[in-house]
Amino acid sequence: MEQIHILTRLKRQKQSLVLPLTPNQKLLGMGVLFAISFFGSFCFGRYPVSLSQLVRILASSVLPIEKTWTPAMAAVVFNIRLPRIMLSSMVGCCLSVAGASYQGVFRNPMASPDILGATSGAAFGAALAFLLGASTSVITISSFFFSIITVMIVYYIGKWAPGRSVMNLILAGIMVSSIFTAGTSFIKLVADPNNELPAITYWLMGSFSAAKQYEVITIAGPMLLGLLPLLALRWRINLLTMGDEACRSMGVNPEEVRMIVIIASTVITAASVSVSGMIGWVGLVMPHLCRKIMGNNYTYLMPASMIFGAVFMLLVDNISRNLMATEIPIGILTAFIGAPFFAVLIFRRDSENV
Amino acid sequence: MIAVDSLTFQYGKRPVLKSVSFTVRSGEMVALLGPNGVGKSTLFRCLLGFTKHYEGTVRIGGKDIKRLSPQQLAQQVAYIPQSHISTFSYTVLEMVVMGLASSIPKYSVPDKGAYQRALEALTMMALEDYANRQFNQLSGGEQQMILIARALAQHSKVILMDEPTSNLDYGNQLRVLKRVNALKQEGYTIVISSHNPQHALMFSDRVIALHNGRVLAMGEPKTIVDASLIETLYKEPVEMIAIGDERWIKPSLERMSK
Repeated sequence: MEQIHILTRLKRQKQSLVLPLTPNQKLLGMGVLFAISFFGSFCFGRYPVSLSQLVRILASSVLPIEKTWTPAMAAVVFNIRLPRIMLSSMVGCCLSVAGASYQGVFRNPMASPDILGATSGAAFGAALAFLLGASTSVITISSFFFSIITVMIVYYIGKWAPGRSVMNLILAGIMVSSIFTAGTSFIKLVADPNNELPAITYWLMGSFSAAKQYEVITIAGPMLLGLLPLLALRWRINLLTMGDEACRSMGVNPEEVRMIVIIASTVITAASVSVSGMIGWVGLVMPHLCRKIMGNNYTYLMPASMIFGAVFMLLVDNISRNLMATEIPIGILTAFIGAPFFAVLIFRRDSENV
Repeated sequence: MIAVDSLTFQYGKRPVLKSVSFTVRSGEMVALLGPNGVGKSTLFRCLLGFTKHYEGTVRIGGKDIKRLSPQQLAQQVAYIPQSHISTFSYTVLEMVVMGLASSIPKYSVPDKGAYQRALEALTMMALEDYANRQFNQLSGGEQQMILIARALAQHSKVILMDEPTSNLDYGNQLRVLKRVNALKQEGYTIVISSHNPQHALMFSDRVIALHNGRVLAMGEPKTIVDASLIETLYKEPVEMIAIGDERWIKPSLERMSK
C-alpha cells in the first residue's frame, strides 16, 4: 500500500527538467502541436486557402458538402499540398527517429542519421541516376538502393574488423562515407554543366517541391517497415546505452538489438533521403530537443522524436515555400535553423543530463 | 550453485586463466583476491557469458552457461560492475527497472507492475526517495547502491560484484559492504572480487586467491588468509594482528623500507 502511495507521489512529482507534466501528457501536447502544424500548413502558400475552406474541402471527401470552392483550390489542396505536407511530415519523423536511434546504438549524443553513410550512399545513387538520365522514380530507387548498400558495406567492415564493433562501425562509416562522397563529387565533375549538374546540385540540397501522391504511398511502406520495429524495441535501446556488458548481464543480447535498430534506422533514413534529397540537422537537433523535454528514456523519447521531427520539417517546409519568391532548398534551411538552435541547446545544457 | 571446472582462457596467445576450478555453494559469499591483471575480471566475464572463447565448463544452477541465452543467464545471475558511466542520464527508477529486462517481453515496454517491482527493489535498499533523481547526479556510493538495487530487481539468486568498492571513499565502502553483507544474510549467493583483502577477511565465507592465472589458495578466510598469502599475491610485506576474534592486515612498514 505504501509503495502504491509512493508511486502515486512520484507520478505527481516533476517528471523532467522542463514541465511538471507526465510524459503521456507531454506527448499529447506534442500531438496537438503536430495537428496544428499539419493542418495549418495547408493554408500557407501562393494560392490562398482559408482554414474554413480547408475544413470544408477536406471534409468533402467523406461528407456530402456543398461546393463553395473552386476546382483549382481543391486541386491545390489534394494534389499539391497534401502530398507535400504528408511527405515532409514522414521524412521529418523518420530522420528524427533515425537520429535518436543511432545516438542510442552508438552511445553517442552527436550521432545523426548519416553516421553509417546512409546519406552519402543515397546522394551517390541519386547523382549516378541523374548522370545516366534516369526518370524520377529510378532516381529514388537508385538512391534508396545505394543508401542500403553503403550501410551494408559499413556493417560488414565493422563486424569483421578486430576490436570493438561499435567503434569499428563508426570508423567504417567515416571511411565508406568518404568514398561515396568522393564518388558523388566525381559524378558532378563529369556531369553536363547545363542539365545534369544543376539537377544533381539541387537534389543534394533537399526539397519536397516535386512531392507526388504515388511517392508518398510508395515510400510509406519502407518507412513503416522501419518505424515499427524501432517503436517496438524502443525501451531496449535504453539498455544498449548502458554498454554491451551491462546490457547482456540484464538479459538482453546487445548484438541482436543493435542489428535490428541499425537495419530499421537505415531503411527509414534511406527511404527519407531517396525522396527528399540531403536534409541535415533534423536527426541531430530534434532528438536533443526531445531529450530536454521528455528525458532520455526511449519509451517516450522515440514517439516524441517522431512528432517533433515532423513538426520541425513542416515548419521548415512552410518557410521554404513562402519566405521568398523562389523556393529555398530544405537542406539549406534546416542548417540555417538547426545549427543555431543546436547552439542554444548546448548553451542551455544541464551538464549531468546530456 | 556455481561450478567452474578447468576454466582456461587466453587473450590472443597470452594465457590469463589456467585450469581454474572451484565451486560456490548456494547462499555463500565468496571473495576473489588477487593483484591487478591476475584475471579476476576475465573470470567474471566468463561467468557472465560475456565471452564464450574459453576451455572448460562453467555451470550455474547445474546448467552449462554456454547453452543459456542471455535472458536465461540473467535470470540466474545479476552483475554489479565497478562503476557505471552513462552517456545519457536516466532517473534512478528508470535505471532500476532495466534490471527487469529479462522478464519483460522483447517487443514491449515495462508496465506499471515492472515499475512497482523496481520500486520494491529500491525500497529494500531504503532508496525509494531517490526514484525520481537523475542517476548521473548521484555520488559514487549512491550510484553503487542503485546498481545493487538494479541487481536485486533482476531477481537472480546469484550476484557477481566486480570490485564494487574500488571507486568509493571509506564511508561509502563500508556502507556498500554492509549492504552486501545483508544480502548474504537474505540468502543471495555472492561472488565479490576485491582489491582489499581485509574486506574478504571481514565479510566473506570463503576466499579464492588467484595468482598467475591459477587458484593459489581456496578456503575459509581465517584459515587461508595470512601474511604469507598476502605477500605472495601483492608482493608487499604485511603482518597479521589479532584484535579480539578478528584478524587485521597491517602493512609491515619496517620491512617495506628495507
